Amino acid sequence: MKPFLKELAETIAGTYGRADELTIVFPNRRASLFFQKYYAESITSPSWSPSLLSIEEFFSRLSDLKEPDKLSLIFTLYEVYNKVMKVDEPFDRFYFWGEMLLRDFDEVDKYLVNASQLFRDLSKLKELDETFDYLTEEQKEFLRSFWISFEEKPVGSKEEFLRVWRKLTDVYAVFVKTLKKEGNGYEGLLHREVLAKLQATSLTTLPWNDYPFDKLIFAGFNALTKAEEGVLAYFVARGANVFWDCDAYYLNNRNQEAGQFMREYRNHTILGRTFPKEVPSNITQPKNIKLTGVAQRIGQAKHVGQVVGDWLKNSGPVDLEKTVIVLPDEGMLLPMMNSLPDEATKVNVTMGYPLRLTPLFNLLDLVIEMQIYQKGNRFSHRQVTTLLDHPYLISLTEKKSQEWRREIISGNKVYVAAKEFGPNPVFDKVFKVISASDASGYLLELVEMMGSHFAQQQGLDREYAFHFHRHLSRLHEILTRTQRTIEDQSVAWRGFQKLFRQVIQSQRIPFTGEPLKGLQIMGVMETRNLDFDNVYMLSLNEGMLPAPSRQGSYIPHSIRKAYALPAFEHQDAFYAYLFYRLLQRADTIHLYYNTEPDIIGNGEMSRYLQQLIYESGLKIDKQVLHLPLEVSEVTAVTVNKTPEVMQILDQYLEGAANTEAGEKQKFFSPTALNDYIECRLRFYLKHLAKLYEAEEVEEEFDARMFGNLLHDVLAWQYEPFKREGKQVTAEDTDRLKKNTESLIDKAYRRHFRMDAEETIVYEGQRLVVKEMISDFVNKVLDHDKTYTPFHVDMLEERFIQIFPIASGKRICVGGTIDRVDEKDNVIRVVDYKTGRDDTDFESIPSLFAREGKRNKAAFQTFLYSYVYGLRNPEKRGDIKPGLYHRKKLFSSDFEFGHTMGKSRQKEMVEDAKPYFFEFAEQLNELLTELYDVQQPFDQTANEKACMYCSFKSICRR
Amino acid sequence: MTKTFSIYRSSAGSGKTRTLAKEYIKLALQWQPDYFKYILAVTFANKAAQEMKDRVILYLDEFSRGVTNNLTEEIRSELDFDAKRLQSKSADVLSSLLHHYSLFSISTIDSFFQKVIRSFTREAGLLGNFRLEVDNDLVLGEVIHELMDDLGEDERLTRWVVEFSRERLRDGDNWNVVNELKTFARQIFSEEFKTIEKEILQFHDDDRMNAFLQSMQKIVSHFEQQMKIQGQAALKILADNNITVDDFNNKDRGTAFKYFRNNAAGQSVDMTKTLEESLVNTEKWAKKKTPNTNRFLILVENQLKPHLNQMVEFERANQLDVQSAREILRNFYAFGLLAHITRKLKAYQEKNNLMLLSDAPQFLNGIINESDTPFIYEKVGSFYRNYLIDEFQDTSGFQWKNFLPLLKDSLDQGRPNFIVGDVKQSIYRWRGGDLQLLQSKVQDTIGEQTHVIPLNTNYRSADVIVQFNNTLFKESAAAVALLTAHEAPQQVFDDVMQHSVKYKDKGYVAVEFLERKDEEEDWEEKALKRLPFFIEQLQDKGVALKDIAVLVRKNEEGQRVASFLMQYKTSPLAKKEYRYDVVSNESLRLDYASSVNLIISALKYLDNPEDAVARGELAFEASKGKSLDAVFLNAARNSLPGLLPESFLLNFHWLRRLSVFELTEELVRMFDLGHRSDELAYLHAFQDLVLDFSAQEKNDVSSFLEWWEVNKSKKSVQVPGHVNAIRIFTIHKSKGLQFKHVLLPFCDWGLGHDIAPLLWVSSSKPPFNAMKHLAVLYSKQLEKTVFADAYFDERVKAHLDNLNVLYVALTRAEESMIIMAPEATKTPGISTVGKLLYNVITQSLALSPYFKRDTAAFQVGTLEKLSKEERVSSFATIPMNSYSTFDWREKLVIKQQGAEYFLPEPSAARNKINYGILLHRVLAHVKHKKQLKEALRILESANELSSDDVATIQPLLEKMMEHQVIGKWFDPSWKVKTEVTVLLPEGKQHRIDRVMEKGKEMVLVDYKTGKEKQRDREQIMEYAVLLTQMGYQNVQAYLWYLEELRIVEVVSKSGLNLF
Ligand code: SF4
Repeated sequence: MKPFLKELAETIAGTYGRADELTIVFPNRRASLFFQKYYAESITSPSWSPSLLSIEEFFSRLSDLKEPDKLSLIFTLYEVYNKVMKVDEPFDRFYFWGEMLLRDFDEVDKYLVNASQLFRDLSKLKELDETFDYLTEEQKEFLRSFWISFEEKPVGSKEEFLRVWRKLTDVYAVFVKTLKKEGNGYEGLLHREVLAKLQATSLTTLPWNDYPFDKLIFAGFNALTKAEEGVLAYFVARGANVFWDCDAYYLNNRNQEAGQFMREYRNHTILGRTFPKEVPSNITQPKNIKLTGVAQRIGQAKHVGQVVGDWLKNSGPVDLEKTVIVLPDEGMLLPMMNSLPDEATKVNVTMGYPLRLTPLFNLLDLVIEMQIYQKGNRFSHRQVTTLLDHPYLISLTEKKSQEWRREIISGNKVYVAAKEFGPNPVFDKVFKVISASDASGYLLELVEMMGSHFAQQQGLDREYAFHFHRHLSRLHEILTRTQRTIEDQSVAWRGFQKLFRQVIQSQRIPFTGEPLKGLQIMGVMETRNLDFDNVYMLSLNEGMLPAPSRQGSYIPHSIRKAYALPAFEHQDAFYAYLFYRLLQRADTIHLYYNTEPDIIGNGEMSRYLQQLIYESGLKIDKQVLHLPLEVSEVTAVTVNKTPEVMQILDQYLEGAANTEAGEKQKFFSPTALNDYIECRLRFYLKHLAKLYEAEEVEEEFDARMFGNLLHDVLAWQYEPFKREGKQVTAEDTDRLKKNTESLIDKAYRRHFRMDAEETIVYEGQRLVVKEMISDFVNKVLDHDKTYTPFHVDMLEERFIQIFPIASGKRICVGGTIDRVDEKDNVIRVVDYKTGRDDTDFESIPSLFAREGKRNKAAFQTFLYSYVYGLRNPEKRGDIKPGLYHRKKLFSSDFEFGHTMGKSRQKEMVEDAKPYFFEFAEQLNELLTELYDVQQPFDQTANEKACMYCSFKSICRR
Repeated sequence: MTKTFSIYRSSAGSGKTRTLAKEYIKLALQWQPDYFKYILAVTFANKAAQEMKDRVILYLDEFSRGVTNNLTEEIRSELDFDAKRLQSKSADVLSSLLHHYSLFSISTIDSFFQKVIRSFTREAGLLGNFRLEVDNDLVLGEVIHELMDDLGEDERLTRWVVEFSRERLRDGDNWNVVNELKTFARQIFSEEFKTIEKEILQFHDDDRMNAFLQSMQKIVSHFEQQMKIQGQAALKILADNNITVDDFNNKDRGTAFKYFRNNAAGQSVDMTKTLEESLVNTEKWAKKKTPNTNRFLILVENQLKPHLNQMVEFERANQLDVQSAREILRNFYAFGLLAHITRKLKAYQEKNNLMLLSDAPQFLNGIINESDTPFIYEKVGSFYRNYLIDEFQDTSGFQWKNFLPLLKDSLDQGRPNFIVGDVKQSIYRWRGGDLQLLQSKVQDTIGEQTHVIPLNTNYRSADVIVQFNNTLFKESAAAVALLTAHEAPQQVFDDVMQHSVKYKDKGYVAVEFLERKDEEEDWEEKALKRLPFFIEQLQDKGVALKDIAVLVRKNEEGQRVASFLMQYKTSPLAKKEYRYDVVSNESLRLDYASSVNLIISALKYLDNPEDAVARGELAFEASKGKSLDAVFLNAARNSLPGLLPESFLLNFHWLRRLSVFELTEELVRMFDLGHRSDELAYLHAFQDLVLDFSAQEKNDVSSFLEWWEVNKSKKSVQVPGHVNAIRIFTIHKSKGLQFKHVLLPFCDWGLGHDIAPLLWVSSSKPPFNAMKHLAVLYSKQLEKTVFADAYFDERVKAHLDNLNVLYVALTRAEESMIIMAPEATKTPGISTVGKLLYNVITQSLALSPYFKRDTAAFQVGTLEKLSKEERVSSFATIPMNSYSTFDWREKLVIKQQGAEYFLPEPSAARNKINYGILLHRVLAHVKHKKQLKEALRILESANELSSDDVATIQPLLEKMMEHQVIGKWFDPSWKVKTEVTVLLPEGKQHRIDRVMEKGKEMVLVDYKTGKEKQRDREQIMEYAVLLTQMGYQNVQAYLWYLEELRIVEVVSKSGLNLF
């Protein structure tokens, strides 16, 4: 069907004379482009184009006022507000409210409402009847219904509402005055001023040309503001013409909100003249309508992509530009672009790429965050390491930043001082402590740096910098006008971040494209006046189309109704028109909606679809998208002992390392063997393949670090006794406690690779940890005291022991024994445990069993005891393994040693020697299996073992 | 007086939605067509609101088309409408409703509150664009993290945390209190806490807490000290007299010996029977017939028994205080931190501009502030006249308070209002639901206008099931009432008896009691193994798998059932002629899908290439089919070529610059994931998540990965309706749903609490009254404390909760229901629903005849398929076979505007280059000299020029106007057009920068920047020709090179000069 603008072009080319004398005003710019194209199609020789204006341009040409950008407007309003209200609200907090207030003022003017009467406090209802005789009874009723709730003494939120409300007249007045003084105004103000001016003067031609008004045409308008209505009527009364784009379907049915405005205009004494006798009836013409329900959002885009692709593949050459994809949900732009089939070679997008999805946004936001979390001139590693890993910084510093990052991680620096960076021109600029009042300048400088860095390269990065530079410059200009300083830097930076995010949030980078060529992708608003044969509309859900009811207003709904300000009904009718208009001239229509409402139940199928289904009588193919669904099969993960794997295993054999060349002999630790028993696959991945997780700065003390520090401190406590072979006495243990604190400091230094002079700051959880270690150590000393006097034989003793197996291989097993002490023929093999370990176990075989409860700690101490026994055959005494373990250390019934047996008959193992034989057998079996080519590294059957395993995602456990 | 406030008590299956829809429609039809806008209906769940909306529309649609349905008769007679009237009225209402859809107010309670709050942000001091957060745990995690960061800075806080950690360490627990705090602090989201939050923040300062703590510790330590001394004294007597543990009858098992010994060691001992006897009976102390017996007995009589008596008496005298203090101390440190956490949470919300969904009711309560005239609702424009509230048993106190002013207002005007609910189905107490509201409080508040209407016809379940439940729950309620010594259970189940109308005399209920434990397996294992049998049996009757639901109490149980059946399916036990397919949300988790895991590991790798585990995962996922040893080894060694697509490895740095969504799409392309058809649903769902995440403020890859780590276990593909498989639901999720056939394999949850909750208590007894509110853990120990009442109260509630869960579970089935529970134990007492079931079934006169003792099975009715095939939906399903994704960068580019913006020395050079462009831009707005300043101002205020730009350009422009030729062009005598377009018939257009007309004279000017080019001349020549074609005679044409202020005359006055 013929597009509206084409019809219009033909009419104009056919009925109007010299084109350059014509002025045509459209609701937006895009209409002009299309119009021009259609106009060219309808002429036979070169011709001037009529002068084409958007309504905005038209107004601004008529007005003496100019419209500054939104940020400046809000800032001016901010200053006015603070002055009038006598408050000192920070700008960032005001911003959102300011946006809303500006919108309200804008509407007040566009709808020609008397602001001082609107913002009147009518809580004394008497006034209502006296002052508002121009309102209809119904309108007064709205006012009454609202203010009636104020009859009693207002408290709480009501009082707060009144307080602001009463002042809004002043805010409005001062704001308008301030703007006008500078020759500025927001849109509504411009409109109001233009109308007033027109009515005061009597123009015969437009100020910028001298053609009569019958050369002036308005086309494609629908929801006019009162001011626009006035302006149109003014010109129509003087000869101008209006072309309406409407359809009988909604125009003639009073229930159809889509025709609400047009019906009003048709009854308008002046505008009514411009309506044609016969309104076309296109919507009810036969069409191809498909309605598709899709669970969630992505599927809609993917399906459109698929449909368009299939169509293009099968159709031969087509006019792509007759196809539009309408996206009411802006968030669907990227999914849609990523779903466009390659057959759609040309695409034109009227929406932009969101600035906040760019790497530069991430970088800047991160930098702000870094400043927020700055503490005493030091930055938190969290932001610093992420920043250093940002592709831009890597590129700018030629990978120096990655070195820094590694250094921070290995140095376990939780906080990093600004001065530690450098000297490096890039770091110097990024990592410096900046006061929030200089925020915008600082960011601007960074953007400048990025921009210059990417200046020589083609591509998007420079483009991003360009856009950020523009917005930040403006922000910078405005912020340098505020005097306000906030003491708390982190609060101030937070505020800046809010502002920065809000300003960037709505910014888009345009795509290039030829608007008249290729597949068209646009938002709903952009479709005004345009027509397409094939229409794809996505996201037809409540909250998308119609868009959420208003973006918020301070003017209560009833008061809006009373003053005929647009309320949500207005917006609903506005979108209804856009929706039906797109249908009216299309042949093939694909409508999509999300079948899943959101978490609180908003977002059902759009009312417009329901209207189509229940009342249009149009034939609609209804379908839902179905995705094949299968429960994901979990497959076994098994690593076979290939020759290559065996080779790795063989590195653990005696003599495998070339020790002369400085290689270290590899060995299996008890932890590795424990892993092997628990899960062969985990053993392989962790100990043979060596898949480690990346190192990170550990600010939350993890259990491992706690253990490490504790071991150090305890070893150092007894070190002199071991060295000198001296007995430990009760007095000694008391005395040793005094060393605990300083030894913790020492261990801390060692752990974090700090210099001896560097002062230690225990922050956050480290503070707690320090106390806990100290408690733990001292408690061990307490227990030791009751055991005194004793000798210390070994402390943190490393060993490697060879275990031959039947195949002849000689396997190295090793580890570090925490402590061995001796008293009265009892040799204690001691291990410190800070985790959940227990002392009891069922039997020696249970230590090697894959199923059931297993005691890892006992496995370890028995292994150590066994090795100790092997190496010290001359020792006659009992060998008693045992733990100093968190679970019982502080309990009044703490007892050193393991208990063995079934649940009710556990007995203390006073001497491990009798069990050595059994232990050795089991160990041999274990090692034999480990080297058995037939036994692959497979997953454990005991899923409990997977709970804390790092390979859970590989195994799907 | 007519009763305008109706409470519908709607037992399970009683057609609640239908009733609501009917009341709604009746109201809507009575008055003008748009009356519906005065009606607000709220319900709790999303789906319920949607269903209700759909129903209303469907009914109206049918009425308006004259189709008779199950409501037609009732509506007509109750409204006294004839057929025509109903039809035309319905049509009007439907049309009005569809066209004023914003006013069609059937919503969830949350969404209604949100709407109100959104319009109220200014007064409430909220930032308008606040983010609504539904995940409390997520926020709490962050808050506690920040709290921990504050250690060291905040001394008091540090002390609490250290002491708390120390206490945990002493108890042998993990000293790292973060997790403990996270669990404990969930409290602060509960409505119970919120009602006292203010007081806690106000009164519970650290000093007061400390003093109180010490007083509690003193009570305990004083007592323990005394007991210790006494115990030691007793031991000394024994030792002095050479009496050992072996002389005691029963040694130390519950004897006085143990009492002495443990107390001496500072441990308390519970009273035992033996001990009680020892207090009175000397004989019981000693082991008979030992050499010491007599000597010992004398000692007992003279010394030990009095000593014991004294100790026990002392203990009893102090018990109440000591026990109370002990219970208080158990959580005191965590409790002490609650105020800190609460404050921190508030700061966090403010900082991040977010509101927790769970805070909304309280928040609203704060602004409504008990006022009768709900100004807040007025402000939104919600002038409702009638209210319909559904699922009222789940309403919380705050929610009710928020509605109360509205309701009262409406009732005062004599308008009808409705609430609907069933106390028996109140299972959301943990989320704030207060069944007392429905049970009695509402009625008490509203008073005599109330009118209670029981809905006691069951439209859902077959006769046999209804009858079974009638008896079972009548008697169960009585049993639980007896057990808890409270009448509440019976009151709640007062209306349990229902009439049945569906499938008269048909239906099937089976309950099997399984042997508790034998050598190999527990009863649950047995229950699992019974499942295939029932599933096969149902299929024999022609039942489709999708009509079978398995209900479980907990998620883990569901997982167990799912993995059992999935394994069974592939085991040799499975019979070929049957299917065993099962789906649950759990089994459709996204992180089980290979494509999702691949993307995640690729993201992890991109985020941190040093993470070898991520490399391993990625290599593993990307190279299925290869020998795994090499895959893992190479991944570990970071030799990835061959394992991963080349494009991925080559574009590593480029990929890292993409936003998360773009990145994941790119990964789908690079790893060619879109073609695995079995993964499609997962990939779609995952990409939807990514897309949603992209809308968050912080949306970089590492934030995404963090978020994913926390949330992945909760994300799954929704079970779609069309899959023919058995469904697994938790009972809580099943509420409001119905299934043809229900299997309840593990029917044995405890009647009491599984996990002891925290109770907020207070006491008027000194010294416990020093704190206004205290937190104690629910346990039997509380019986012996000053908080006994709170304990008993909670106990009744817990029992009711669990009985209600049973009610919900057993009322889901339409046709058959098969239940498995363990066989009863010897020990008496009803501690679980399984035992309750056993007791009632075996003892009830009505049910016991159907119970067979030999098989321990209960069975009534016959298992058969009762329902006919259903009608098919009007929606056809269309398949999608791949996830297609394409690179848009080949079709579309971002507009390049910054090309000349950044140069090595930015400031100087930038102006130079841009200056031509800027001049061009300004000149477009200048027809005559005098417009120059104005044009500059316009562009400056529109942010197209900076003030710096203006400062540089203005003198330049002014200088131009002085120019001999140019100056003349800007003379007002010309009729000027700037940027005019000439159109050609074939659609081409030309834009000419400046056209000047005076009389017969016509001058064209094109502005140029940069070097002179031949092309420039050709272009303007073309224009001149065009204009000549259009009929203009004296066409002159010039090029104006702006930077150099140079003019080239291409066509002179004398006409077309072709060189
Ligand atoms: S997840 Fe389980 S099966 Fe997989 S490696 Fe870890 S422990 Fe073994």
